[in-house]
Amino acid sequence: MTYIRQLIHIYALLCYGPALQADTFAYITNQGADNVVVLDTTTYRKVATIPVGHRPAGIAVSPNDARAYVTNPESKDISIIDTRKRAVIKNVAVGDGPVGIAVNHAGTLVFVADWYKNAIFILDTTILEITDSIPVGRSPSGIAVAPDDKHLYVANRDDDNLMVIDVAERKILSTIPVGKAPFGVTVSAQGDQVYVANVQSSDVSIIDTQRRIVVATVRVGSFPYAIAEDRHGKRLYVTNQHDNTVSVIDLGSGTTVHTIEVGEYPEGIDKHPTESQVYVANWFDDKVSVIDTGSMTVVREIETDSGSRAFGKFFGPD
Amino acid sequence: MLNLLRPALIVLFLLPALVVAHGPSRQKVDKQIEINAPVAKVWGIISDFCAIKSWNPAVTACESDKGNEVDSERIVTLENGQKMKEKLIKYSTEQFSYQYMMVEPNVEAFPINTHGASITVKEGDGGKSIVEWKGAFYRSFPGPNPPPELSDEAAGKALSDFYTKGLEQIKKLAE
Repeated sequence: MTYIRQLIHIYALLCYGPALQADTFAYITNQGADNVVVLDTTTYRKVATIPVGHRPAGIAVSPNDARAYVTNPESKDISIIDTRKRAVIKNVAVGDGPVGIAVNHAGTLVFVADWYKNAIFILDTTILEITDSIPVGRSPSGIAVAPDDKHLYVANRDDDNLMVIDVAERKILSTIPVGKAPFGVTVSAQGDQVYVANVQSSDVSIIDTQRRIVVATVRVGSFPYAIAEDRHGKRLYVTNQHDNTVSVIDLGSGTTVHTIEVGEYPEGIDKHPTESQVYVANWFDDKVSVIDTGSMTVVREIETDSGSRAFGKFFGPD
Repeated sequence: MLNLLRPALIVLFLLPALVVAHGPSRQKVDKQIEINAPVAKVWGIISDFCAIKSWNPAVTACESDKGNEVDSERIVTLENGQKMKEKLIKYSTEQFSYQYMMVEPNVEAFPINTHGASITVKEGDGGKSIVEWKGAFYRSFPGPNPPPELSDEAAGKALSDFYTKGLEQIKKLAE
């Protein structure tokens, strides 16, 4: 009996141990400081500062292989960080103005939106080189990868549309008109919907990924930037750059139900893996606001560095 | 002569792109000045949306359509004759503060786009006041390699000088 119990314990540890024991970190890009700060989300402390390229903006943390990828639009390259060493292992020149960045769930491909070249550049993570590019619309900004890695969603800011791209074929499958100056793009955890923040029409477009049409447009605050999905609570959290707030959209009713005061010029926003919190990077205030999703209030603020942007998915295991 | 014309020529050539385009990195200007006068007096000097023509020597004229009502638009004329159109977004007498936003860019005024700013009078130590004028903008040059006079640094310096001139004059008027 004891032997079986031991086996069960070992089995449980192997399955659940890693998840229980790993800490979650937030990797925040700081435009004004040319670095990424690493925040321990258990202690709410800054635990490392990693110098990267010039005026870093976008961030994509790999789900499985201890890497984080950062875009530096003013040095026109991406910095590849080894999250265990907490150091940059390589910089790769990309285009003329790389901003949006996303990594697929397999960790094999990194997509970079270059808003001057009007293209998505693809980095193969096994060799850490750009191997391909896909021409898209004008000023591609936010990008997001579907949960099954088959599709990439790209917002073209100056064309007011969202493109659906077949990753394997490197082909544009669909072009969907959205609001004015679309920027941040987020895919639902189930992959059934895509959410787009339209900066100049102060609204969010909700797209059904199967029918590839806009099913709702929800009014938010002024100059919305990016979106985090709280799947469990069936809500979206949207940063409003000029209002210094976050709008909370209830997906059931398709309306904004709450507005949370955060810091100045909030930009990047992402949901903590436990789903109990959402972190917001405040560009003007140089700090992160931590929102509790249960109460929809700010419960903590963490000092980061000058010009925090964190545009993309910025949580990761170390 | 061509040196002076160059920015204008670049702008005209790129005009279709200019309306929506800007650089990828937002820039910040944040200036403060301490004034030996109470908050109410200092606020009195700046509280009108168009009072900027009195307290900023770099401004020669100002007209607004709705005074201090939210959504009021002011047209500010600079020393070089160029005009800026700005809209009032927030106004608070209680907080001695207002916030405004550029309506459309004018490269000949400043090479910036999407400029939003706020000016606030706060209480300092010992009956003094502090005026803080802070804003954010993007360079308006729509491409990746701006010429030096249209770069982030040039735009930031020009706007910073504009803010500083204003704050220094407010101090002179108040003390």
